Amino acid sequence: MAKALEDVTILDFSHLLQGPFATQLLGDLGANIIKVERPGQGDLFRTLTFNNQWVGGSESPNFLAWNRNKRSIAVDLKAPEAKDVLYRLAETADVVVQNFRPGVLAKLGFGYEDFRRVNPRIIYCSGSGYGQDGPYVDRPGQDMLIQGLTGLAAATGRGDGPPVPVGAGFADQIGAMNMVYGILGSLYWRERSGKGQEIQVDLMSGLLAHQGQEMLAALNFGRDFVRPKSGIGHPGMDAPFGVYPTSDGWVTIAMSPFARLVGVLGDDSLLAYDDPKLLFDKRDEIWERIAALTRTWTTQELLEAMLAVDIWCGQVQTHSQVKDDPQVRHMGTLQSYEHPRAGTVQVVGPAVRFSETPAGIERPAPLVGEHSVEILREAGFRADEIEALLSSRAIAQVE
Amino acid sequence: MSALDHLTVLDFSHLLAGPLATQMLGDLGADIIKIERVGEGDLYRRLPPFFNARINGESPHFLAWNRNKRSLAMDLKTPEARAIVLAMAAKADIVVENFRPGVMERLGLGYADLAAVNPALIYCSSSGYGASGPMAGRPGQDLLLQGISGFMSVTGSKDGRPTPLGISLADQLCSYHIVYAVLAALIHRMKSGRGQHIEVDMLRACLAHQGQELLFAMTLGKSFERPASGIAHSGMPAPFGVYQTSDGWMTISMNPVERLAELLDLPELAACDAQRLWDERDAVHALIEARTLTGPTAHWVERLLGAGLWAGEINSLQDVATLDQAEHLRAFTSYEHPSAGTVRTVNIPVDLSETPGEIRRPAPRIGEHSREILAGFGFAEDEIDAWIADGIIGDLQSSATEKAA
Repeated sequence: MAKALEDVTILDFSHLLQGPFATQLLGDLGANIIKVERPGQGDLFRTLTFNNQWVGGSESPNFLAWNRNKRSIAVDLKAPEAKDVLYRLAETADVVVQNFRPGVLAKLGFGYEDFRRVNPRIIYCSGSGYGQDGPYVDRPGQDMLIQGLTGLAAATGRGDGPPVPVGAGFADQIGAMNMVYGILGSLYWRERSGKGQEIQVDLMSGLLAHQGQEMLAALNFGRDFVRPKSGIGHPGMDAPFGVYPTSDGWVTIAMSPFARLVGVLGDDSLLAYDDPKLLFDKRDEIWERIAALTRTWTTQELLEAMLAVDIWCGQVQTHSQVKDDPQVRHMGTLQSYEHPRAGTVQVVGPAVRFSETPAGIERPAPLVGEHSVEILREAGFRADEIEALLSSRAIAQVE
Repeated sequence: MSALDHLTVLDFSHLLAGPLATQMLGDLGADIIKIERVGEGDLYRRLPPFFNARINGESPHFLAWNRNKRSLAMDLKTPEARAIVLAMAAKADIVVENFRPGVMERLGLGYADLAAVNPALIYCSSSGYGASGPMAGRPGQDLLLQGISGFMSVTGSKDGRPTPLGISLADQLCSYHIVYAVLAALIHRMKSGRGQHIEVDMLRACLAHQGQELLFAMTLGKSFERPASGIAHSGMPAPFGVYQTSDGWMTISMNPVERLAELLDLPELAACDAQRLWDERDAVHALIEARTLTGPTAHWVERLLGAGLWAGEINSLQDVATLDQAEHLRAFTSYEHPSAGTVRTVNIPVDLSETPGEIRRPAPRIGEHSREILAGFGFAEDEIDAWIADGIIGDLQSSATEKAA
């Protein structure tokens, strides 16, 4: 079957999470991703892991997660030959992606203007923490810092506890999705106009956009949310919306007719709270009353009873439970690929099903410079040119 | 110039996942025709809003995700409405819907029905858990998906409860996957002339965004345990986390510990190797926090940033509303709404040099553009009048009457 993006070539200077996740999403749909890495060390994410553990003893799960369907060319960006090599690759490329700190890549001769000169149709996408200039331009643009700065951490968790960042690189991932949005929108427009353009995405604006309704309330009413003391699941929501204990775990209960929930739990005295104002004002008290009842059920029994009357609810699962979840298995979401060093790596597959142009995993995350020679050969470099680039160490291949 | 300015989207979606996706397409210039139920409209217009507060009667939730759209109010259960939709689909480019699986098919408006009149149509179905399978019939609400997909189990602290995020994370990740898929399908259509059916669901979107956590958990066969302290990710060592100061809270991210130790004057910290930063992360957190508690946030953030370390403030939404960098980025803007008045809102977060996004119109009132849209598709005025009289199509007038009743 055809791939939606099969004739799109991307020169990918990005590292860590934001850029690599974006280009992986494009690669999953068939784009040719050429990952430009530093010889030897490669992408910084290759050196980071969780829990001090490595897949196959040496490979970073973080790197493996965001770099399938890419080939790696190892280039010393400071070598004098690097410009010749990358400009030549850019002549036939469609998109450049980068997430260095503002100005760094342009200083090395790889800014939008540089590439536009060799290819006026190029689409150049820059990702940053806080934009390309402004009072925060020199601040580190790391994910958790942005969760703190944009109000998200302060609105998550419980009233008497500390602010809580989410346990995933959420600012980076939203940044990645904004890159995909900008790049695909631009590719489509270029087909009609013949023109490339520059796209700028930053983590801060991205996380603000994802608090669109919370920020809209905060901006227009001039007040902040107060986090609940109980397990109510959002600082702006009323009871019963939240997380409740069972005898063997936790369940979530979302917006649901309160009386119907009381019917399942079987304590009619709770009906006294069934009023929009009380459900908000007394949400912590109501949470305690409901929790005392849910504790007497197993998760499975309570879910079945609530789902039978169409109350919006679900179980709270760990990642290991997600792995065995029957719906996750039914969807075929979890897949695996073979990696020359890490061995069999289990991964989350593409999340979108296309009837005509399916997404797929064609190759594992690359080793640093694994495809340097192959990529140069495709771009028309002669054998002696490649030999010279390797011996001057402007280009490196897998050791 | 807009990137998508000649595209027409028939938008059957409601609540958050679909509407945010079509708003993003509208921000780049697409004509979004929001098809709403006569009288009531999108369910989000009526759900109890935050603080139980509305803006001159309008829901802030609805206003947040429906700018740059026109509203066509229609009773989809009537045969006339089906015929109207088929006629519109013949000229449209994209359909987005997030009803529960099977609903559009039962209305005779499934992919097969609409592809029969327009093979170039791109039809995106979005659901909670996919179109089939043991959980396909379950309610696909955001909080539930945060629990089921594992997000909640790795957020918050060990002794506390699983912690949902204070925003609709699962919905919004699904929105992005809709946009991603629809734009890619458009690029493919340009070359092939063919449309296709796209299926997106909140469950897989949430899993895709835990790519590295799930890879770790599955491949190494381990589950993450939430830390007891303010360490901010279940898989990360100290010092990565949230720290209390004398006047609030701050973040300290991944940093070389020797340098952090020197700056905070904590020789014990300097002696910690990588294994200890992991094994004793809660104790190391306590050690650092004892020091951060002795000074205000501004003091520490300035010192750490000044030394090139990664740290930052923890802001409330009101703090963010006046943040100088947000102002510099023009992250906030406002639009005029006929009943809500001036609405302050978050701006488009992506800058495109040649085809910038633009807020061209506020969130619509129910059926506000019914006549204009149908006339644009070539329906005759007397035909439209008859449909409005029969309640098959709603306009502003019929919404107002229903409200009064």
